[in-house]
Amino acid sequence: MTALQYALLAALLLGTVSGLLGSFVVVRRMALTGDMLSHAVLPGIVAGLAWNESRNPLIVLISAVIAGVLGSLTMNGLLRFTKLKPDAALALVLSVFFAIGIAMISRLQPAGVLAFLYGQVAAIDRRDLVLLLAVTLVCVVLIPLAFRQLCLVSFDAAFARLLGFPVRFFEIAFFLLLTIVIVISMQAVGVVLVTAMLVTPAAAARFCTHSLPKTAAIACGMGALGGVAGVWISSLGNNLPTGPLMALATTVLFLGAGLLGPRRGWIPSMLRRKRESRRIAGEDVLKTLWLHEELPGLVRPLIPNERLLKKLTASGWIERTTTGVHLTSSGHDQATKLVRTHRLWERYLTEYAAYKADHVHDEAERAEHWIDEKRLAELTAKLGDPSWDPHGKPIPSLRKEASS
Amino acid sequence: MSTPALETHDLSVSYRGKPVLHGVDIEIPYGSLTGIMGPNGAGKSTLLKAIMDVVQPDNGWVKLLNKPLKEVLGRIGYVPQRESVDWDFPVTVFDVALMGTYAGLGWFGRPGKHHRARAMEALEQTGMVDLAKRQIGELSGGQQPRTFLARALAQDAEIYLMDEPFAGVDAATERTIVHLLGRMRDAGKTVIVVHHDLQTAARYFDRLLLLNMRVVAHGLTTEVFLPEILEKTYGGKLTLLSEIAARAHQGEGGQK
Repeated sequence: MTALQYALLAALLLGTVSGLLGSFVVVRRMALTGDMLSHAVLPGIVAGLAWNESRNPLIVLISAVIAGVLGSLTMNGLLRFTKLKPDAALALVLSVFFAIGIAMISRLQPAGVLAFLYGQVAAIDRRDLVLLLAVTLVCVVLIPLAFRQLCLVSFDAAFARLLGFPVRFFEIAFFLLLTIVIVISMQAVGVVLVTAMLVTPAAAARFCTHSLPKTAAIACGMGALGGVAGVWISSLGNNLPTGPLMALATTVLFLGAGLLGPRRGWIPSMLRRKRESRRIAGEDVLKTLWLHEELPGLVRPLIPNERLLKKLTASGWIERTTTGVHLTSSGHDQATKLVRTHRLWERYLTEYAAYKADHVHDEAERAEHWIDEKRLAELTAKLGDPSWDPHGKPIPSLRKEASS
Repeated sequence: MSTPALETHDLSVSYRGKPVLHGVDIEIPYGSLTGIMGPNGAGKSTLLKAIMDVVQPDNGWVKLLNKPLKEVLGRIGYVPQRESVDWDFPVTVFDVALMGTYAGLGWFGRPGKHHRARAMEALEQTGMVDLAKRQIGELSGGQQPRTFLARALAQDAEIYLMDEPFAGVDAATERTIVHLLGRMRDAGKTVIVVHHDLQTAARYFDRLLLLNMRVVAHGLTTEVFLPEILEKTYGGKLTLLSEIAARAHQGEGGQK
């Protein structure tokens, strides 16, 4: 394999495994713990590199994990025996362990440590790749198999314990796995950017779906794609650093998801809002025409919006003749329902919510667009099908089969 | 007297050096519906957490179904307080109900048809079938506790611990919950509910546990729902008790 193929494969595996673990990190709100771990493992990495002539990656990994465990034990101790809040305890452990690591680097000057500090995909050799492959395989096989259980423990640990799941064991296993993945990612992207590879793909996936399995799957895909894209882009020019480009490529995917994500993305949300406001504007036109029929001259004139009128005509709710705009029979039914809803809601507010009659119009103006048929029927029954609104205007009845 | 479903003896709990519960003795019989009442800071939620072994007591013990918790896992159900749930978590209403059936599933087991049917049936009983596919953050205040009640029903446990299921719900939901709690009790379940509203307490529960850092009264509603006992429960915190206990705790080498 060429160096580039090595690097691409490493990025693919790294992206997948950090996306997968990262989705749990994000829903469990552990992003800062990830950051703490990536700094806390440094003394272990330095020790592993300095006292291990052959630079065996497994030994580096083990000593790094030991440092990570020490870091979180320290943090738990701080939380338990002092009044420090989690964020302060986290920052404290992160900086102290990192300081120790840097001091050890100056003293011991081990070869290969720069790759862990700044990230260097090119430094990943065959042995590293085998280790990475093994870790990825374990995660990709075990996590989906126990996915529902992991979801339960992450969502409601107290309940999981009552059901008999060994929650503590899970917490420890997850923590160790997370530390391992962090140490391995560090070689590619460096200390600081590990968190980006863990959190960004999962955060992006949350724009796209409300299901945890899909979040995890999308996060894997995004992590892999971002990693590979970063490596590929950095191979195109001189002096293009791989780690930062992997993080940046993943961030571009995040921005894309933020814009286009079907669940919470900006554009779909905006389109939904637009659609609703068009619907409301249309309903307001129908209602205005209806009120005009009820009391000609008393209603403010329509401000015609050509697009809206065309749409309403196409829907068969209004027709335009030489004398102006008129409701069709189905448009009339639709408008009757709106006026009925409006006036019933005014009744409801005065009778049940202690509103004064002169305070209810604006409320009803908003509410009338959001009360569906089922709620309308409930409202009618609750109020005993009244005939008059609080202002003395008649509440129109619906024609039989009006809504067909 | 036959053995109680839930028994605590001399249970004392403190949070970070602050004593919250003192020497709580309770015996709750099988097939009863008990309300835990008391002012803010009385230790109601803490008592549930101590029973569930989420917080370590300083002193005393808990027995559920005449055994320590460890031996009856899976037979105890729990409905969390609204504030302690992450409503942003990517799960649907159905997912939550299905979680009730996970007892005995092991690490790699998968819920089968029969588990799903149980979850669906529980959603039917709580009137949540139409919302089964909703993410839980999209629910209204009344639908949220129904979801967790469905999980409890799907679990089919023997003892249920519920932390303020009535908090912030509409009248219709309140009726549904009361009805379901009654049915659970009639089916022989032991239901223990932290409750806030004095107005409804006497109507909803057979038994009351009046708590204010220690047990003020405990027994049949008709016997303990009396003005002088309520006065004692709600008549302010026992400042002296908590102050002295906190000092003693710190003096004995607890943290500040």
